[in-house]
Amino acid sequence: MTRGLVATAAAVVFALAMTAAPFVLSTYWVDVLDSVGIYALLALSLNLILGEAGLYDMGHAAFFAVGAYTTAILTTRLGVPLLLTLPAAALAAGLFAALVALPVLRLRGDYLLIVTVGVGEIVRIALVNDVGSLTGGANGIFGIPRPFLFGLKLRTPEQLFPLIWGAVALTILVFHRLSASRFGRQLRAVREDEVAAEGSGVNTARARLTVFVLGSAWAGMAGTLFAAKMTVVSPESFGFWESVLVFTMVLLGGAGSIPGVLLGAFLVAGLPELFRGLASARMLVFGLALMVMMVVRPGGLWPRRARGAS
Amino acid sequence: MEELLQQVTNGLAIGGVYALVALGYTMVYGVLRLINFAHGELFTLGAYLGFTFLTSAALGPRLGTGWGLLLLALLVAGLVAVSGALLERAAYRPLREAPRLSAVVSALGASIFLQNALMLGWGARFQVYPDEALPTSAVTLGGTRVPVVRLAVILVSLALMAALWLFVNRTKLGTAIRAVALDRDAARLCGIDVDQVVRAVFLVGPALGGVAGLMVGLTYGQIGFTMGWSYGMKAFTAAILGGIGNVPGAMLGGFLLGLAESLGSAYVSSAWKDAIAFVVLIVVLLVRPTGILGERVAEKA
Amino acid sequence: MSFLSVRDLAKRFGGVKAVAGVSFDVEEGAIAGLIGPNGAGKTTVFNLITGNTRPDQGRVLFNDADVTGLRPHRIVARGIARTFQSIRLFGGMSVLSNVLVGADARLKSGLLASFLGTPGQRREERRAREEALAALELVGLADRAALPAGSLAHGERRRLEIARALASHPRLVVLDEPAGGLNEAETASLAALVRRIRERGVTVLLIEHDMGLVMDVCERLVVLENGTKIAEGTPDEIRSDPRVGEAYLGVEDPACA
Repeated sequence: MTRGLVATAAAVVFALAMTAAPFVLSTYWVDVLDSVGIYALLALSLNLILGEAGLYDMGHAAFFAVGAYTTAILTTRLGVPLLLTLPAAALAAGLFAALVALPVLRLRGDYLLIVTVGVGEIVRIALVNDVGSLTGGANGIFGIPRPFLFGLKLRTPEQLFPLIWGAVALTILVFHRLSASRFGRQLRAVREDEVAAEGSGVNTARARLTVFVLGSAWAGMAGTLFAAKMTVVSPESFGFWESVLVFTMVLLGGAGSIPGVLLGAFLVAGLPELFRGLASARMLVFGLALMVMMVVRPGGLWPRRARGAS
Repeated sequence: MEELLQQVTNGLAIGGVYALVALGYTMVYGVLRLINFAHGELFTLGAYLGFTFLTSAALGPRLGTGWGLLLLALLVAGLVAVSGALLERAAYRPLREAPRLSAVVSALGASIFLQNALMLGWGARFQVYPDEALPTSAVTLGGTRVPVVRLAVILVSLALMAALWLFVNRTKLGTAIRAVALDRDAARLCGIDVDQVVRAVFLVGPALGGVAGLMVGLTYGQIGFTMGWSYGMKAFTAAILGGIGNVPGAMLGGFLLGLAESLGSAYVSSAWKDAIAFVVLIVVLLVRPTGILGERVAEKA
Repeated sequence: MSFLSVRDLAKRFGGVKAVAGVSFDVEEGAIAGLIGPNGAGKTTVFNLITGNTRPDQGRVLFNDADVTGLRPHRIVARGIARTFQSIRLFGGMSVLSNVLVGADARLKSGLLASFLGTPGQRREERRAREEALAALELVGLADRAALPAGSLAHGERRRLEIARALASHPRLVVLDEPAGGLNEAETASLAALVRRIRERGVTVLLIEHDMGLVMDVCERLVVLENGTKIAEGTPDEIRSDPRVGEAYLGVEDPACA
């Protein structure tokens, strides 16, 4: 019970702090928080796949890229208003995930991991090679128009903040429900023991496919927000490194735990900013920190607990 | 025909490098079920150590030729092996019984740490092996001139693999490694010292990877601190392709990938060169979900 | 036609014939046992019934339908639930959640309803929870509901697996060595539990080494040896069957003596 209280209190404090953030922080830090928010969306969506269902997906950036490029192409070529491309980005990323999943999702553990790394690389190289003359090659696509929300053009980090963190809040709400539902339970059952899950009536193949497509589609929508924030998309934003970052966010915070994953997003995306003083050594410190934290807390900083109906 | 021979020898040389690096991944995976992401950085370390020795005023002139190169290779192999053992001690041993994904993150952390340590140690810019260290002679083979260094790389990697094969199949320690790879708990029950096996694997694998790094430096001249990720990923792909945990599989997978990449970039598309390995992987896993020589895992209830 | 009818099932693993043409029937409402020495092919027969293994040959008919080779979750949906010899729980989930996964098989709410938390979905969730608690009550684990399944003692795990199987409202439960690793008192209460399950209208088929339990609760027995059926009948008939005694002779496992 006390743990529940602590969690609730932490959630309230966090929500208040985030509401106040754009008013009290400098533009630079609000911009950092916007980036953290987009990473949080990616990490929360990967958490469904990796944390809840236990599928080793180290190519999440590929689906992020498909969404971002879908938005970039639709806005710059067809003049579609940016936020209206959200469903298209989700659909494109989801369909691509389904396509990838059919041959790949039956693979186990580390085989799946390396294949998703491969899919990520193939997508990045495809973008560099300007597939279908749509992606602009190594330079990418620039001049993506700013989004409008309620007639207001969102241009500054402060203006984008409510959009991005509103999306994060909605994602937390929806994924929290999902996690507590029968679907969430089935995912965890698949992760814990696939044979037992199937033997308890869970259509494990469908559960794996559904969560992979859903998580990937969500990453696609994060891509839309990324395009809105940057106004430029290029292949280098969607490399292996991005997938690794999101992967570590999920596991550092605690796979399967929403507060843990948020914490992971803040630490992995935000802390290097705090370490700017260390200059070129900051990634060294980051690598060391990953090792130390896994040795000290192998289950993550804020792990999921099995209790009640979870 | 001439072009083909060039591409095949080139593919075999790069394949030999992939295979040597893949052996390190596959042996560690075999005994610990761990993807040692930092293995790619040990490979890079080998390349940089070779660079440092060759450019040092005192040692460079003696190590650059003939028997000197052999000595250089031994030096590099020894130092990288020690680094590998230290890595195991610091990053992996504390996580031996932890959830598997924690070890994956620790391995990623070790990889990031080492990569940035390399950058801080040798600088962020590419380094170039000294010209006089790079053999430029070529031999005529089937009417085509093939660089000697390329043939040497192929022969050295084959020789190292043969030595490893003998070690794994003909020595007591090698047999213990295979036993642990098959079933760690059963091996322990049979009185095999698992810790000793893990230590051995973290010496032999990095030694081979370090030599592979040196060979890349000698062949292509240019080295950079991030090369471990691309070579490492492809070598790991080779290990999976052959069937992870399987020593002959890693060798086969390495050569196969090297050839596919070399021929693919020559005859299909050079722009897609770095994607070829992964395309081959996906196609092979479609047909054989556990790799070419991987065991067939029967679903057991 | 019988309730469960196994017809001429066969399965090889590599060159080994694990099951070679086994046929038997189980009547609705029965408590039936499948016995035989180690390696006789009992678990393979179970896996063939529950869809975990596909047969090389033969049919499994259940409730007038051919269920041969269906995926396990389809078999569960048809009304056959199982437990595992090696106990396969979702150790990181709570006891209640383990049972809920079994109950989930019958829920209908889709993904979107879960997203929105519709009233129908909530109602269904509440009902599933009540039923899961009832299943825990039946096996005597109601007071453990909130604990992680991994923290249970061995005997409790066996019972939790049974509760999870029952939560899918099966018409037949297939128990693979339910008394494995249990002490005498636990085995006795297991026998009572098996009878209670049957009283609720669920047919029981079990594999067991504990001959005391088998002879006590089972009404019909099928005896396997080397992948073939060597005898079938009531416990009394089996006890006096010379072929059965022969099959068990020289078997070291004291549980089989």
